[in-house]
Amino acid sequence: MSVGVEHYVLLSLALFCIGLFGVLTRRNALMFLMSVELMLNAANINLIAFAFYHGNLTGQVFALFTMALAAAEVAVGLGIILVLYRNFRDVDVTVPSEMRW
Amino acid sequence: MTYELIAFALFAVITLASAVGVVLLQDPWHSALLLGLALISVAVHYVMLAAEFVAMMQILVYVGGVLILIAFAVMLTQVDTEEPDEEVTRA
Amino acid sequence: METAFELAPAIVLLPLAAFVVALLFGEYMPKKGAFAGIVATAASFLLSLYVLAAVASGGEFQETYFTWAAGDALSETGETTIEFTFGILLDPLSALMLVIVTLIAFLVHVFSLGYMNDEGETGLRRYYAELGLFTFSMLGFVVADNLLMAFMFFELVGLCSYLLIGFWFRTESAPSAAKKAFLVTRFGDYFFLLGVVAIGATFGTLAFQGDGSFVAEASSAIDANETLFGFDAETWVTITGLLVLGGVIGKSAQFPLHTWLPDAMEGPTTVSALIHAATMVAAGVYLVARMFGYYALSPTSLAIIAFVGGFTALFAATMGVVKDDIKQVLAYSTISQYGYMMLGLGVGGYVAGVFHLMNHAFFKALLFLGAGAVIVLMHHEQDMWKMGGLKDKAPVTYYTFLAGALALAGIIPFSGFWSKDEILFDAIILGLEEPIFLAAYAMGLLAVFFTGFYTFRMVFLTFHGEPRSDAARDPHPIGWNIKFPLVTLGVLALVAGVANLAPVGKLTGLEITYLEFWLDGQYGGYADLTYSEYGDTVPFETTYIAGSETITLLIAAGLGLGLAVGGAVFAMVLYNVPEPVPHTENLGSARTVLRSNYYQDEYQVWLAEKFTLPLARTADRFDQSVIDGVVNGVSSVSLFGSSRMQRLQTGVVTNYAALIIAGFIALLLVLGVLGGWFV
Repeated sequence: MSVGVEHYVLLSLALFCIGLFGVLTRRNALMFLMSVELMLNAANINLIAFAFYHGNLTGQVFALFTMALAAAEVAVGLGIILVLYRNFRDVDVTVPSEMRW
Repeated sequence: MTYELIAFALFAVITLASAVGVVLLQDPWHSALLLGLALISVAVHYVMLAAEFVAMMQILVYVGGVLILIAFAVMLTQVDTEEPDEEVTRA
Repeated sequence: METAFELAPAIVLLPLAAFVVALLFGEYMPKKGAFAGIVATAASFLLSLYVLAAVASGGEFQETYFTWAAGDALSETGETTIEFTFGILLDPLSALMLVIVTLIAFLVHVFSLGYMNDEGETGLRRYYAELGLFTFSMLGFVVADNLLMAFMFFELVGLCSYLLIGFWFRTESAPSAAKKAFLVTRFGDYFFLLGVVAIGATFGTLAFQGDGSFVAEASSAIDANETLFGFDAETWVTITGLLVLGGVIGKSAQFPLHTWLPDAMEGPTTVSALIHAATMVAAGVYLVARMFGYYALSPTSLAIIAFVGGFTALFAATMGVVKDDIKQVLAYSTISQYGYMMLGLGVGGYVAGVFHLMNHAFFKALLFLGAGAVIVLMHHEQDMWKMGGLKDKAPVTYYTFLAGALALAGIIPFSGFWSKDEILFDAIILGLEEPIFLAAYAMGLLAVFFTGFYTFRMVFLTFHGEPRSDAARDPHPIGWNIKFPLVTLGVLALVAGVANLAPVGKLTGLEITYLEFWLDGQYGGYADLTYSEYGDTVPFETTYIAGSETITLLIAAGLGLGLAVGGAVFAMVLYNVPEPVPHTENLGSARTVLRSNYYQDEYQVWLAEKFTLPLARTADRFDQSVIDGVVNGVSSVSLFGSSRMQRLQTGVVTNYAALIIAGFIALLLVLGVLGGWFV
């Protein structure tokens, strides 16, 4: 039994769900950031796996872009988290709830 | 073929286990370290999928950039909550 | 001749200039702007005479000066364009009316010097400005060459009368009288406006004159048996004509919208003279005369005009019998006399109606100015029971007033006799053919008696007998500026009848009915606006008593004169004594009814309070509950909804993320179900 694309899809799915679980359950903003990274990686695995099984490089190019995006996102997220911390002395995302209406 | 399968299963388990660790551990510092492990094992998956360049980029960008940034954030936000404790203990 | 017509706009605009000058500089001018008005109206009068002469030498004039709106129209008669213009139409009728209006306005201005300036009134700048505007409005109305322009100036006239009636706005009664005049006439004008719109929408034109006029269009529509707005053409002409008549009834104070006019006596007496003789009230009858060709197409509306006129003539005359205030008597006589004009026009007597309009302008202006002179003499006392014996102390006032009274009562040979006789003659010859008009004639005839009675009751109470108050024993002196207009008008009241001595002409065979020739366009004028043209259109046949015109003429004149003299003699018997006493008590309960003006005000107030007010309240309630309810309902539903929705917004990022995921899953499920994944 060889490794099929469905294995990778299942792996990607599991990884994504774990990331999603992290986003929904953790209150620490840093954990948010890390969970999002996990989800992005799950998507990347999908892209690379399909690129391999289709035999072209489109998926890989996409994955590279995703990485660049993830790097940028983390940089911005870091900034936000630091400001959050400076204002609230905490990184709990449920504390700052004034930004509604 | 079987080796491939074994390799896939092994690294899949490592990836998932460390991912679960990332979201479940209470200390963000431990989570960050496990995230590094998960990212490296994903890079191994890329190598197995014949995407060596992407795997290299994964290591460079994620482990070398993103993870460092996260570690940086963890340390910056952790300092203040621990420092008062230290001060308390010193006092 | 051409020059005269080119100068015609100046006739209208000069009083407007006087208005502006008096308004801006009146305070710094001698006599507070009176001279501006006097100069302007005198110049207008001279120009009007010039125009009259030009028309008499065979001219006519119609010119559009300004088109302020033009557009496509979808009229019933197939006109595809309509234009709203300001223009001037000068024909025998408008030229005659110009002379009357400018002359009266001029004399009223002169009289005002004595009545207002010399009596030390305040607010004279406003007074003269409004007088100028009033004259301007009426002149604009007179020369209007289309119905919409006529309507606009008609409204301006109403506005000016409102301003002038309320001149003494610090008193309690004047503002209320002004408001009443404004509202009652506005009620009529509302129908007028509807009529203007209806005529414009039907015929695609509002011009009075020419082949494209709405009269000509209506005539050809009737001839072609067209259907207009679902009615046959004649019915539709009747309906629109009656709508316009609504404005006439309001302005000319015909029953049932006459109630404003007696109250309008709150204004200065000079203003009353202007309103009653030449401007506001005359505007209504003039409008009927102006578009007489249109009414002539519809026997029904003519009959209604005749009956409204006849009834108003009698109705108002009976009320005038019991009044104690000299101006009130004159007010009711005005209503009554305009009733005669309407009667005359309604029975097809176009010349008779216009003739009476002219004569009435002279003698009613005379009577009002005379009353003004009496009020000055009496130190501003208006109750006739406090007067008496003024005959010897103020002979000029007495004799001119007497001339006016004789004309009003219709005693030969004063002007009023000739015109009133002609109206009654026209009514009886029509009534003999169509008996229904006999009723209108009878009312008009009966009113002659009352007219004679109240007129001479007024004369005897005011001037004869012994003085009944200190003021009457020692009257205030009056100056030339009061005597001059009185004498001028007194002479006119005596001789104006010469213009159309129809009975004499018929008896002797002499061609002396100048006014008839004049209005028939024999000296000049448009062929479609002549008396004979109207005569051909009016669908009435006439007949004579015993088949002889002469006998009918003599009987009609004899009846009218006999009743007038009878009324006058009756008044002489009752009141021409040194110490007259009120005889009205002998009338018993009728006196109460008459003094209450037949409860006209009461029933109109009742109508307003018991009918209009609840209706308005119901409409208001409907508006508040249903209309506003729907609007408020929409807003409160969305308010309530949003207050619920805002609970979704917690500010906690996790919740948003969960919502996004839930939405995404729901979307997946929906797509899955629709895509048949779960089958």
